[in-house]
Parts: sequence; structure tokens; C-alpha cells
Amino acid sequence: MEAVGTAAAILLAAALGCGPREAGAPYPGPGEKKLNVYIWSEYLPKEVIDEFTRRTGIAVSYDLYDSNEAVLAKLESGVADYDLVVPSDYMVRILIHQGLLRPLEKARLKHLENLDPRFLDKGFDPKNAYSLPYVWGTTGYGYDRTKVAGSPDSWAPLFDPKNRGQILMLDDMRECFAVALKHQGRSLNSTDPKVLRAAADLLEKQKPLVKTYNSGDYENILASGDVWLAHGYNGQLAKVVAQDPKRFAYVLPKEGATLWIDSVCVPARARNVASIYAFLDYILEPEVNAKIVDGIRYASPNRAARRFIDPAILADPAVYPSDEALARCELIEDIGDATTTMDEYWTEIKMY
Amino acid sequence: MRRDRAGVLLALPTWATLGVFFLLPLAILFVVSFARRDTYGGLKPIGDLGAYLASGKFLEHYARSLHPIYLKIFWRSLWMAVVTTLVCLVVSFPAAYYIAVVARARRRPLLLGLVVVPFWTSFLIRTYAWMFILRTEGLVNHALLAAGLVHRPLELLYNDFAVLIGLIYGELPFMILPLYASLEKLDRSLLEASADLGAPRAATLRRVTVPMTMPGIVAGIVLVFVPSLGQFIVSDLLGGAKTILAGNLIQNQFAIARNKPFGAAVAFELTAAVLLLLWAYARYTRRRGEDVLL
Repeated sequence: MEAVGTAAAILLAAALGCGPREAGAPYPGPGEKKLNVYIWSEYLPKEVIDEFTRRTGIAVSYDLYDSNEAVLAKLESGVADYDLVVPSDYMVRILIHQGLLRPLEKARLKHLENLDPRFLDKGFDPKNAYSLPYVWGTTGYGYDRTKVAGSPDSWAPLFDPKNRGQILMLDDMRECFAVALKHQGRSLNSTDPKVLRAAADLLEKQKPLVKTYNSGDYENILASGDVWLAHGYNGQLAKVVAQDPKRFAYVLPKEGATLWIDSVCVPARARNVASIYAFLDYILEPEVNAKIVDGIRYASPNRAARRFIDPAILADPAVYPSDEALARCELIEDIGDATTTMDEYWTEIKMY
Repeated sequence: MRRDRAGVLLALPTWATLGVFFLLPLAILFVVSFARRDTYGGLKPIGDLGAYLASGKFLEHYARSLHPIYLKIFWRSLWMAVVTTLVCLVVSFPAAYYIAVVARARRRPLLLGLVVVPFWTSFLIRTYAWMFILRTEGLVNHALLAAGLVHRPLELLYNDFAVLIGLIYGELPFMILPLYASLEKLDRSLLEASADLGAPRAATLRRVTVPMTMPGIVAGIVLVFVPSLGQFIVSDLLGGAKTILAGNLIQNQFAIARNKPFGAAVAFELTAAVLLLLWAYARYTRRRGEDVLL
């Protein structure tokens, strides 16, 4: 699904004529002032890019993806000429391990101290040798208040037969297992086959209730009324909530959920080194960073930016959850060989 | 002798293309399918090749692919591909017959053009269009509700019905075109002779038209069956990713589970099955003394 979604995003954008690479000439030749970015869809507001090009004369072109696996596949293929990629935590670890990233030259960055230490020096990249946190968030679910009674605060409604046929789950193995594991009071990085088996059983039981697995445009499916509950990343769901807060709400379940940190990294084969550091320093500037947050509704690890962020967003618990709620969340770690076991169960769930 | 050399030279680009873009990747796939996944999703280095072969571990991915859950996936893919092929054949034959035989020769290019026009848009985007047509608040449901034919929206999307619609829609031109090619070559005087000799239309169709266009029918079946077997976009988008076809299984192994050896083993099995089918097709055509169309 992810590859499909990515391709779909690119093709759709291309077909609508509003797609990536619209800034400047397509694929500028070597030696020019340019920067090739590979980033999640709706992750970098256009005005932020335009301002950068205005200031520096560096043309930014970008391609979009909607899964971490797409980044791995592109960089592994060895043919992509990206200067910056923005993978999530567990994928950063894999990319480092596969030798696909280049260590950061932090001396070239003036605004590093703006970053909140809470999001630095994590297990996936000790001392941030290769990555800088770009945005962070949680994976919870959004729901339609006109259809789902009460004010849910746990994962339970996603397993409630009352909501049969009205549930959307991310088409993402790790995220779905995270829901089941957290609901069962386990770590979402469990590797014990018995614990994984129990989670798989729960997901199999849930399967008849699920209308669709989707990690591409789930927020639109929720907004259009096609489902009542949609599992997903907080930022995209926060946009739906912001458009119609009377009808939609986001839940960060009390059992805990996925905390994710998407980080900017430099691929090992990147070439436009000067442009890269100019851009990294630019997006670390508080005002610029605040514009990114206002545009995409995801939380920034940039402390200095808080003063400039729209107060409504800062006050939105879907975007900036309380420290207490955050404490119950976990980063997805690479679970190594248990991935194969989980994949077998996932295939089973899909065929159930 | 000179003819032979010309033949070799003419075939060279084909062989070079096949070699670089088909045989070589297939060979890589074949080798990878005997390797083992390392913790991060790469390939585990093999220290002692002799010991590795003796341990029999190199066959573990093929053994795993025979597990009932995967057999179920293959069976499902096969079943979907068969239904797609049959429906395509039934729908395409009258269409091709109309274009090739009934319609005025002047209008044929236009009609053929209409069959090909959808290719101007990416298949992915056309599949997304089907989502808008079939969804709960989509075009079909709006029309049905407005016409008072139903009182509650029908669940048209995210099920096997939607997947089949998507597959049939996508493969239809690949059936119409070879059928048209065969029907167009059909000698009209044979049809007239059949009618003159008193055969009813159904008999003419059964005993003259269909047997004479068999090469086109077989080519169409192969052209539709093979891609439907490996499809994964349609089941993801229109099926709501709720079930897995062989194509999804392979894609998942490379992208999500990052288990390349297992993905390679399954992909190789699928390719082998398809090649076997093509071989049978070539044999069938040659036995009839006809040109192999593919």
C-alpha cells in the first residue's frame, strides 16, 4: 500500500499539475544552486520553500512519499540524488545501519540550541550524529462525534462490534500491532512470540469490523463520512478536527500510543552540501519553524519557535499533548528478527 | 546462410533487452531467494557455502511459501485472475466482433481509438477514479439514492466485487485488441458460405467464427491472465487492503517485512508459473501451425 500510495501521490500531483518539482527548473544540473528534498506529503509549506529560494537563490525541488519504506527503497537503489530525507525514528536507525546516511557536520549549524533536548539523543541515533528532529507526533485515532457516542479516551472503540464496518486502520503493520499491544497493556516493541500472537489474535478479531486499511488519505475518508473512526497520525487528523471541531475529535488513548519523531537526514550520496546546511539552518530559525508548524499542524521540537506558533495550535492537545499523556507513548524501535514473525501474523490477519 | 546472419542481427536487440531487463534480474532474484534475511533486512553473509547448502537452510523460503496461508493467497490470486479473464472474454468478444465485422470500415479507427484512450491516463489515477465512483458517498450511490432505487447507500467499495471491477476494467483492452486482430483477419466469405449452407447464426459463431479466431482468444487470455495474477494496486485501493493477492505478498516482503529472500522466492515461483503457461501457449500455437502472437 505504501509504495502504491507514494506513487499515487506523485502521479496525482503530477496529473493535477500542482506537483513536486514545480519550484524552479526540473532537475537542475550539477554545479547549480539547488537542493533535492524527499519528504512526506504535506510536510513543508510552499511559502517556507519560496522564502528560502528568495533569500539564497537555491532552487528547491522535492518528491513526496507516504511511507518510511519508500525512503529505504529509494536510497538503497543508489540512483536517487536526494540531499535531504525525513524518515521516522526506527527508519533512521535502519538507514544508519545500512550506511545510507552521512554524519552531520554540526559546526555548520548556528541554530542547533533551539532544539528541545527531550527529542534529542534518542536510541535510534545516539547524540544525533546523523539526524535532527524535524517534527514529532503521536498515532491515535480521529472519530466522528455525530456517530460515536460518548467521549472515548481509549483504544476500545476500535474493537467495539457496535462500530462494525465503520473503522479505518492504517495499512501499516507496526502501527496496527502497536494499537493491539498497547490495548493489551504491552510494549509496542514486544518481541516475545506469545505476546505478538495475542496481539495478532486481537487484530484478527477486529478485522471484520474494519472497513479499510489505508495510510494514504485516511483523513479525507473520515471527513467525507465514509468511516466513523480513523486510526492515524495526529497532524493529518488535527486538520480535519480544525475544520469542523463540533463534528470531529482526535483521541490519544490513555493506554498509550506511538510517539514518532521524523528527522531530517543527509543521504550518504548527497551532493549539494552547501545548500543542505543553508536549508537546515534556515528551518531551525524560530520564525521559519513556526511557519512550518502553522502550515502542517504537526508539533516541532524547536523550543525557540513556540513564541511564534499560532496559540490555537499550541493549545490543541491533538498537536501538543500533555507531558503526562506523552509519557505513556513509545517510539517504534526496529524489532529485528521479530519482524519476520510479525509479518507472518500480519499476512494471516489480512487473509483471515 | 546470409539470411541466418540477418536473423541473428535482427534478433540481437530483443535478446539484449530481454537479457538485461528480464533474464539478469530473474537470475539475481533466483540467487537471492536462497539467501537469508539479516536483522536489518539486508542479506546475511554466508560464511561456509558448503555447510550452508548441506544444512538445507537455503530452501527455507520455498518451504515457507508452501505454508497453507500462502497457498491460500496463491489460490485466491488464481481464482481472481480466472474470473477476470473469463468476464473480460465474455464482454470483449461482442465488442471486438462489432468493431471488426459489423461496424463500417471507416469508423473502425475511431472505435479502436476509444478502446485505447484510457491508456493516456495512468492506471493508478483511473483506479482512484473508481474509488470516487464506488465509495459510500460516491457517484453510483448518489445516483441510486436519487433515483429512489435504494434507501441506504450500498457497500460497493473495499470488497472482492470492487477488486474484480478494477481488474476487469483495467485488463479489458488487452482482451479486445487481440480479439479484434483475429476477427479482422476473418474471411467474410466463410461466414457467408456458412449462412448459405443453412447454418443458423449461433452455429456459424460456434463452428466457424470462434474456431477461426482461437489464436486471438488464446492471446487475449494470456495477456489478461498474466498481469491479473501479479496485480497489487487494485486490491490495495479498491479492496481496502483487506486481503492479499500474490502481488501484494511480494511487494510486502520487499517493502514492509524487508525479507528479500522470501519475496524473491515467491516472485520466482510466480514467474516460473507464468513462464510455464507461456510455454504451453507457444506449444499450442505451434501445434496448430500458426504464428505465435506474443
